[in-house]
Order: sequence, then C-alpha cells, then structure tokens
Amino acid sequence: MIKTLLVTAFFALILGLGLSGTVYYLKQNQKSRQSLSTVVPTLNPQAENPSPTNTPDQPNSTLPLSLTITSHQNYDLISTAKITLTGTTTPKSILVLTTASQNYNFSADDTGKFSQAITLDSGFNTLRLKAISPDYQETELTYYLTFSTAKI
Amino acid sequence: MKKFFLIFLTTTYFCLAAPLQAQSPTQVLGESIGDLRENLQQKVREKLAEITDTTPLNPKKAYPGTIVELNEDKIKIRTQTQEMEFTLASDTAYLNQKQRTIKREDLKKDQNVLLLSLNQDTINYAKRILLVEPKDLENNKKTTLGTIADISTAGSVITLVSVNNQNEKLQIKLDSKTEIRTKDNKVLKVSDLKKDQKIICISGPLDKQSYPALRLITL
Repeated sequence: MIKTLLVTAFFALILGLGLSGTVYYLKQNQKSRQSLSTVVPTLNPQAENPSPTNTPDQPNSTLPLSLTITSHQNYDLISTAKITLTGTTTPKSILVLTTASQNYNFSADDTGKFSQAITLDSGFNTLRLKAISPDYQETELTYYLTFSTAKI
Repeated sequence: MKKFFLIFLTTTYFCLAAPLQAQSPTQVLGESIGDLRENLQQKVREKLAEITDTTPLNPKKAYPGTIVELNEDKIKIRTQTQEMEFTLASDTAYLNQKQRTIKREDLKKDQNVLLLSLNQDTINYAKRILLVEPKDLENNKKTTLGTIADISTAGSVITLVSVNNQNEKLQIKLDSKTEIRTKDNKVLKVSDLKKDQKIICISGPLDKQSYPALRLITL
C-alpha cells in the first residue's frame, strides 16, 4: 500500500512539474513577444537623437535623415528679397544652402530646428538645401521660390 | 486510505501549480498595451503639432513650365511633375525674356515660361507670364561631404573622396574667390586644410575635369 502511495505521489509530482513548466514556458514566450512589439515606437527617438557612440564613418543608412522647410511652401511667390528660412531636421545637423548667387552654412539646434536669413535673387530661385547629420548622413531638398515685386 | 491518497494528490498538484497561476498574464499584456498606446499618442501629438505649425497657404505661386495648350481664356503648362491649367485674366501681363510686354498671341506651344499665379475663389489665375530660358532658372552648384585625400603642393587642387560614396572622387580647384570656413563661419586659410580632414565643399559645375570650389566648410 505504501509502495502504491509513493508511486502515485511520484506521478503527481511529475504531473505538477510538467504543468508548471508548460505554464512558465508559455508565459515567458508571451513576455518576449510583448517586449518586441513595444520596442518599435522607441526606434524613432533613437533616429532623431543619434547615439554619440555611433561611429561617424559608418552612417546608418536604414534611418533616412528628415529635412523640412516650415516657413515657406514650394513655388511660393514672395515680394521681399530678404526672407528667413526656417525648418526642422536632425538635431545638431549642419545645413548648406545654395542659390544661384549665394551660399550659406548654418546649424540646427538641439531640437533640430533651424533658421537662416537669406537674400533671394530677383525672379525665380532654385534653392538647394543639404543637411548633414552628426553621424554624416546626408539629405538634400530642392525648393523653388520666386521673388517679384510685380503686382499680382 | 483512498481518501488520504486523493487529498495528497490534490494538495501536491495545487501546491506546485498555484504560484504560477497567481501571476496574471492579462495584467502584463495590459501594461504593455498601455505603454504602446502612450507612445503612439505621443507620436500622433508630435505629427499634429508639425502639421498645425505650417504656414498658411500662400495664394501667390510661381511655376516654371512648358506651354502645352493655350487659348483665349486658359493656359495649360507642364511643370517638372504635372500639368497645370490656369485661367487667363483680363489684366494678365505677358513679357518676353527682356521683360518687355508682348501679346498673348506671341505665346506658342512648347515655349518655356515662368507663370505667376494667384489663387482666388478656388480659381487659379495666370497673372503674369514671362518667357524664360530654362538654363537661367537652374542652380548647378554641387554640395559634397568628403574627406581630403590629397592637397597639391601649391594648395590649389584638392582631391576629395565622398564620405557616403567612396567611388566618388572629385578634383576641387581652389582660387582667390574660394571661401574657407569652419562650420561656425570662422574664416580659415588654405594652409589650415589637412589631409584626411572631413569637409563640405560647395562647387560650381564641372569645368575641365575639376570643380571650381566656391566654399569649403571644415567639420
């Protein structure tokens, strides 16, 4: 009788351990899937604030460098030659702007905002704006602005 | 005995399984979904802020293009990306390349124009149409981020290798008009440039196998 009891107890132990192990495995598996899905939203802040440990000679080509002009819209017709061009890009990027007659270089601040006073040529202007991030990613934007004092 | 056996079996099973059942998987899932929702809400808020920060639409625009169709009250031009139709107004001005007034009849299909328009009451009016030479509208300057591979002994020619395209090697020609600056716009001399230094070069169009350097910016 004692033998039967011990055998039964042994099987009960095995059964208990088996069930516990299965539940534990399933729970761990679920956790890892959840942690993977929650990583996704944190990818963009990393792109906007490149880690200082990034090797400059190895640009991260998977995350494109953003560059936007917010002060003007493409093909705008403007009645003053002197304008202030503002926009956003990756924080601390260097920006190079060229028109047919002028060249400018300036920097974006810690939040990625930039502002630069420029002088437009009379008539149609093709503006080429290049941003270079601290880890040497590059992106270029071409913008068309026309300066004319003619009454429209 | 059977009773004792059943009690023992039940107790053993529940003792082992109970601590794991105490952890609620829905709570962990709920917390993660909460984090995810918070992150997404933050992103949406940022994007909305970007959109609302934009300048109001300027009703005055200027489009370079080629005349596709022209009649008494409409003009259609082909820009770089699309065809656009405009209404000709009674006060629309027509000008040739010397900025002299011409007549609407002087305009022909396939001519290159710069069209100044005004959007009023959802109608796009062509208010001023100027004949132009497309090359006069271009900006042929090139901006290159590169590493100085070589500086000629006279310091007038620099070989620049693009940082992001090792196959791109440029001969940069410096002259008295070339500006050399730091990224903070402090003026430098040619002698301040060193081999293996990273610079940004603004150059003019290719001329006899080299690019005339307009401005060099050290990093």
